[in-house]
Amino acid sequence: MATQKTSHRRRSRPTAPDRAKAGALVPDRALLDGLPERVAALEAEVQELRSALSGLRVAVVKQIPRRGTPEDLAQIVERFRRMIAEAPLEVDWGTILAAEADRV
Amino acid sequence: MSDAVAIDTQLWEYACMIPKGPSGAALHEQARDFVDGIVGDPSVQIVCSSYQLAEVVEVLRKVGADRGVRQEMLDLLTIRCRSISIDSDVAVECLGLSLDSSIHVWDYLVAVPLRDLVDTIYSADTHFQHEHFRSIARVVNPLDWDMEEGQRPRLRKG
Repeated sequence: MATQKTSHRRRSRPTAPDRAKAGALVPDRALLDGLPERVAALEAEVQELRSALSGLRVAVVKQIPRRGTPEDLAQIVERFRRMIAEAPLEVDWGTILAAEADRV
Repeated sequence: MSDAVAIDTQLWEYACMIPKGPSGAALHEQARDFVDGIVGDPSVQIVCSSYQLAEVVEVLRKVGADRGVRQEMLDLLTIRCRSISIDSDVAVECLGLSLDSSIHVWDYLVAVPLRDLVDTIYSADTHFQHEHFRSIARVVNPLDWDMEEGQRPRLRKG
């Protein structure tokens, strides 16, 4: 009889204090208070940092020289945009796939 | 938008050509509109590796683009974009990553030199979804198609 009782206790669900004694993680309700707001604030901060990082990258990239004058730039951009809008090449798939596979 | 971005070779390629056959025109139009939007936005800095300069112009030669088209592309890439030289350290790093993943080295030579310089890599190539590329920058496929080498682009479901 005594053995049966022990067995029954072993199968029952442990209480939070039991789990804490056993070293399991027990959620601290105080830590959960305002969690969505804190997550949202952190996300906003991450977004702000990403934006600042992007600004830094753009600044660094702008230091890399490129060819041509601003006038050249405006002309070539305009010519390229016109070319892809008005005169794209027509190419069959066999040629396209072979060209992509055989890069160099 | 104010960003530093990379545009993978296939996007340039499909912007310049229409594949003959079903969905070729739709693919071209989407790539063209995407590339046109980026190229035409002066606040966006387009960055490419020196290897990619060669790759884009060379793939156009292989699909039959005439000298004029290739010259326009070369002018655009050298005047509109900022290009990054590849040194032997970068080449060795690319080869090491390629050995690790079995993804061919050419994709690495496009992306690795741009580490810390670009926010976003635009690519429809499924190789670019590998962690090696996603650790360089955010990878975004601007098309409704996924691309794998040697196969026709696949329309994504949903």
